Amino acid sequence: MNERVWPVLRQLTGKDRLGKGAAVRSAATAALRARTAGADRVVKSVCPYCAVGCAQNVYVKDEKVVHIEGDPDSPISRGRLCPKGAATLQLTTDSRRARKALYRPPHAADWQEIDLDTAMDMVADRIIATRRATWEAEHEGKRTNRTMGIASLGGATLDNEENYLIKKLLTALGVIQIENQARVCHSSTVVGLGTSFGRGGATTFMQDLVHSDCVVIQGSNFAEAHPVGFQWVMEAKARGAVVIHVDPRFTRTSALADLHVPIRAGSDVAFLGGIINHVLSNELYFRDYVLHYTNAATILREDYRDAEDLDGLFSGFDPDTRTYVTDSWEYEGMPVVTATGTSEEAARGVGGRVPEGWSEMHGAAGATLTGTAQRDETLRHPRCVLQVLARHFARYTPEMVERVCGVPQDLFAEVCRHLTENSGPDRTSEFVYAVGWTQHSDGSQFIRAASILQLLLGNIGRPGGGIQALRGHASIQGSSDIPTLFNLLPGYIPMPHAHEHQTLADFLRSDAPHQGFWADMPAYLVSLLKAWWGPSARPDNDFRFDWLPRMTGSHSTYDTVLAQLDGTCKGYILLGENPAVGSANTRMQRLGMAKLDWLVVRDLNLIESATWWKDGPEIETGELVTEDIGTEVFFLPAATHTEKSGSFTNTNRLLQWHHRAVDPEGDARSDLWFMYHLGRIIREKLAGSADPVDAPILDLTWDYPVEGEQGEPVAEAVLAEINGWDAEGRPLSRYTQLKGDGSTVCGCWIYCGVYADGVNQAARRKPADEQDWIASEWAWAWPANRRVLYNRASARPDGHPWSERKKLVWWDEAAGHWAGFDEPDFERDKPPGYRPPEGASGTAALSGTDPFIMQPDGKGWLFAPAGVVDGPLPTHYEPQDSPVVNPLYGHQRNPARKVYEHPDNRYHPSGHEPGASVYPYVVTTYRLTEHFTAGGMSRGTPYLAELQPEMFCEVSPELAAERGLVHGGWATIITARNAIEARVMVTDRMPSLHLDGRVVHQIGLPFHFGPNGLARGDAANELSSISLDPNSHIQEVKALSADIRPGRRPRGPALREMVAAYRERAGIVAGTGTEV
Amino acid sequence: MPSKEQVLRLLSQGHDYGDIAERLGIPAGRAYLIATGVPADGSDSVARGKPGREGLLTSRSQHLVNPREVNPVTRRDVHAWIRRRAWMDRPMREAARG
Amino acid sequence: MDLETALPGARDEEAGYAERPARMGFFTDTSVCIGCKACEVACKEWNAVPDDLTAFTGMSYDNTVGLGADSWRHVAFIEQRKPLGHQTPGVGDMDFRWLMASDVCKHCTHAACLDVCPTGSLFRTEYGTVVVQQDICNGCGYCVPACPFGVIGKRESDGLAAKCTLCYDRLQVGQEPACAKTCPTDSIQFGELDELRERAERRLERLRESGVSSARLYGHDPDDGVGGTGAFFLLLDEPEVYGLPPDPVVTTRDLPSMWRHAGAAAAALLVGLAAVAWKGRRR
Repeated sequence: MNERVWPVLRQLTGKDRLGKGAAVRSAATAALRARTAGADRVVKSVCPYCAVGCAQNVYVKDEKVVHIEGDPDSPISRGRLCPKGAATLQLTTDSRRARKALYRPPHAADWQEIDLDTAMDMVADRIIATRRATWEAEHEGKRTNRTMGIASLGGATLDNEENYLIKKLLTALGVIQIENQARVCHSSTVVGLGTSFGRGGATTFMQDLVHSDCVVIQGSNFAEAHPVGFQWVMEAKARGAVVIHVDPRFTRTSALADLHVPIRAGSDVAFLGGIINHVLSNELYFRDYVLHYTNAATILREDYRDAEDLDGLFSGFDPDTRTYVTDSWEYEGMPVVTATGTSEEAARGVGGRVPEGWSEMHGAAGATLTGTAQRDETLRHPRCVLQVLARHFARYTPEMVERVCGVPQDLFAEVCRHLTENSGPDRTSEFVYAVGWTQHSDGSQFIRAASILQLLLGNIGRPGGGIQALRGHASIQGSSDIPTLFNLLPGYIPMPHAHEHQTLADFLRSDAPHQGFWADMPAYLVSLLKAWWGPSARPDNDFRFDWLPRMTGSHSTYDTVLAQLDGTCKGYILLGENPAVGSANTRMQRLGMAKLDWLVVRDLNLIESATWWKDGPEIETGELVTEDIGTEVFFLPAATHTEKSGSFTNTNRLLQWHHRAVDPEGDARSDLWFMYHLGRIIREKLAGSADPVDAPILDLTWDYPVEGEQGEPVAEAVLAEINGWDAEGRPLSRYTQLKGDGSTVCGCWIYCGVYADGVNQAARRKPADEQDWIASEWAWAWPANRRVLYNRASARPDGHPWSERKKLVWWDEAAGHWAGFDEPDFERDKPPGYRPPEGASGTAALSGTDPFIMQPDGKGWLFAPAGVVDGPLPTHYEPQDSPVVNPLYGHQRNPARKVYEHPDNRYHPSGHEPGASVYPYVVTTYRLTEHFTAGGMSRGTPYLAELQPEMFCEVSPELAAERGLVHGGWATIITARNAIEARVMVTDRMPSLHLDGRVVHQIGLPFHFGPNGLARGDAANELSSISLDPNSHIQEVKALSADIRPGRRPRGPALREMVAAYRERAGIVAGTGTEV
Repeated sequence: MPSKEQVLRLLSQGHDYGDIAERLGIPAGRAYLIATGVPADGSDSVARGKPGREGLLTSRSQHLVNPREVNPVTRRDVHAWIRRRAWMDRPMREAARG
Repeated sequence: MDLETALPGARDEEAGYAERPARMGFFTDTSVCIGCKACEVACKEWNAVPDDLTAFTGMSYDNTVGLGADSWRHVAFIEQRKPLGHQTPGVGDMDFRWLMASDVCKHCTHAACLDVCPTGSLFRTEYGTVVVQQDICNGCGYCVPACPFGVIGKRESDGLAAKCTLCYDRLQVGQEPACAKTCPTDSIQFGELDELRERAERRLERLRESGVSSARLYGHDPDDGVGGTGAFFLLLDEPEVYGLPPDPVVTTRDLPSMWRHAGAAAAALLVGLAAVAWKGRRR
């Protein structure tokens, strides 16, 4: 059959008489060749969207990317991609992508093109000038050595190497206000999981779901937000696991679950508390596990008072500062000392507040306890943790759960049954959560509640157990680890606080006895300082510890917004983040930016945060007039992940490398290029300066190799610095090699090992087919490539597995070390029978039955004596704005939450307060599979935009009837902050709940939309307020109150008038909703 | 158009997919698909489903489809750069000695 | 020429290939579909199918609406007040379920589009799939009304017919069709049709045993009106619920008998005319 022969001839002479097959093939058809096979090369990469971290094959032909699809070798994704991953080619190559550097002079009406080098030069000048003008040597008599005039935001989809340079350069410049999406997304995770277990990250990995007997997905819409990861839930289901989805809405996850439990948004603490109560009152906890591996038996102080005693408060609350003095929460006879030597007393002496970021540091690091714990092995002592727990949760009865959450008692009983039947030596249950839990004014406590429950059920550290925190961005785990956060240094070392006489020794409290792995804090910090200041960092100058700028309180992104509004913060750098859509109270974000002297935006497209001065909502209402806005704006197009090399850390702490496939076009450059050359230019301009203020930036190690025409820094070199090396220049392999004497370099101690032996471990791609289910030779996870954390707990105290079915690691007596499927999260040769001698310190103080090695007492914390500033135990409070009265306690809201009183940030009256009925409905925000976070990577991508083209709201038929909403029509949703419009989807999937004698209607809002791009709409975050969890500074956007009306919203000044009219009706004044 | 029987016969004669591709004048990946019914770049779930499938490669079958793969894991210039950084840090070397 | 064998319906699968591989196709198990639409995007990306931005439809989460020249995979969403096996939806006291299904060209055994194509643009590949050769298509559009499923359409931009090719170019290098490869939950399964049919039967049995009595297969039966399809489905309700015809028939099915009748009528007419003519000659 030769396709060059005339088809009719082929038809007449060949076998295909009907001319339907072989006879009619054209020559073109015969020559068909898939462009994958015909490409020049295929480059290994990782998807840039969410934190599942699906591996991608990037095909290049003639130096252009021609196709991107999944890499079947990946043990996580198995070659699959969700719609966003599948749209990566369009994201990276679409002609609409921004490729020109743009400049907006102050007061200008439009952009003008600008030469990239000129722009870089101008930005460097702005930074230098603003820094000089706003330099602060001291604050209230204490040395701070910083500038509060500059801030940066982003980026959780940037590479670890990029975040590292951002933090390094800006910190050396004295910038403290460095933040990224991790703040607004999963900062509560660091606190919640860290305080309970010792490390603030997911305790397990997605593939391990197959071993689970019961999976509870709550505060997460797994199938929609992490579709490819969800395949592992389906595998578990195929093996007989029960899948439960607890969510205000019936989502695409619910559609595949065995059981969906509708819950009122914001009431999860009550729900989980109810299960805890059920487990305790019916003695269904895993006793051996609880007794040996948790602090259940530890006895608390006599002066501890619980929320039970104080109607929702704990002992030690100071209503003036709205903070707790936490002494009374400590273990009896074991005062808390922070691992960085700032004792509570010292801290209180300085302004009476616990240092900001203390929780996160504790959460990640753990505190230090001095003394010995007193325990009651019978678990009966009235002040032992277990009894305190039982008393605390006694009021969380099934009836109360129904009243608070709207969950019918029979449904609640089902959940309790499934969980308890599937926990114990032979069975394990797993919790999966995401921002449905973190984004609350008591978000850390949501996670604490699940941690307590999983400890009681004995599920932590066991296959198919644990808590899977599903983070959202490609490298948001990395941007927390490295981090671009104001209160942390790489590896969760806290940023130092301004105190008198704060030397390195003070900071490290090297004189105090430390237990556990945090005894090596000096090694970690000194190695970091050596990485940053190289030969300039010596023992005699405290390794330049002085050069780190000091915190004096909270400097979170929300504090920065206020600082912009009051004129303190003059310059802002956005690195792949879009606060005009993605942060709470977007109007305030834009009003803040309107006060800036200058703004630098780096992104793939012209996002809302770059164009608000021209066509943002405030231009439409007339509140801002373009010619009056003096902000100088630079827009510098960014390279995509196919155009740069670097590593992403996914939600399971796995670092995966992606290689540059092609060079970026036009003015697009990587953020690595931007930070490196910005630093280079600044150093050139400051060269020769004798001002001591400039020394930290001039002495900074900043000589990375560059390559190619564009002078792109070699990312592997940055990775190597993060990994660290010894004095011979040999890359280190384990963080136990780090020293505090200045003989080692290490940019991030928890990543030490990623470049072991000079090999990029994060780039390893041994196919899943060639490994077991742990797949430890695919890429590299921290710490030390362990996949299931705390896995010592998968074995009994004597070292044998709890059961054959659930074995993971165990003590091999003959070999004299721990063995098993995973890397033991324990000292390899410490036998189960080891008991620490009197006065032991460091790791020697941990016994052979202490699986939580980062905790000072080696135990999982049911009760948190330190580390969580708003309570040692989770307690149900209503969200900041809520139409429901707290039925559990007299305190309506979290007394310790952070409120920001500001005319643009008014709160609602709640519960019984007069005016609460003006905003009678509960609003919850959420994600759609088809879009990604604040929309910069999906709303402008046609294949994604067309899947969900417009903003819409979801309401129940009852609510629609009550308010006259028409399916397919429009609705306006109003809060005290702003009002938005949305198309109406009337659906059974957004049920109204019956609780406490009334019906509570809920409104669902996807949060991706904004005025730019192809898929447009108003942003849900116009409605939210800034009210923060005091531990993590995360905003409450998962539960608020609002009113809804049919029809489109007003345009122009009428919009503000409507919002104001509502406020007046509700009687909202300055102090509304700010009560303790 | 080659049939399954044709390809399996050649496999049983000891030829690998590269040989078979040349003989039949088709891409190696296509020979694999025809022989096994499993795509060369598919994930493992299909293959694992039916044991004893003839002609199946246990791993790395995607190489039958793909062009040259790029995934370097070492760079000597970076090693040299590290050594230079360490060498230039005298206090560090002193601390190591002391 | 034997009319029965020479006309549509006969020997389609052979289509003139002396040797050919086993027939390949899709089994779409909608019971594990999460409605993510990765299939829609992966298909468009691989095949450079134009985007088709429209407004919010309000049809649950379906803004694609249906298959056509610019949508070769389409995910349907159906919200129903019905139970699904033993699932507890928890939505008040009522039954509720949300069905999701990815629709695609059926690559019928008896393909009407193929039958009516006058140019030989549509053809049967060696894998048994039906593919449009865009370099041959003249845009006549006969195929569009011929399809009993409403799959194929004409593209506005160039007037040519377009539909799913079961990624023929990928098969030629041994790659999995883009939608099947990308599907996060393996709802779309690709393979040899016989094997897929076996797998589907087993899955159906398991589902029914677990209490999902409404589960059924669609397109798997070689005795149905299109001779069975190369892309068949496991559905959780009646086909109509998904927008699929309950009893699809290849629209050219009656052609043989139509020709016979026409032939008989023509013959009768000839006989009649001849009779009249003969009668006329007598005078």
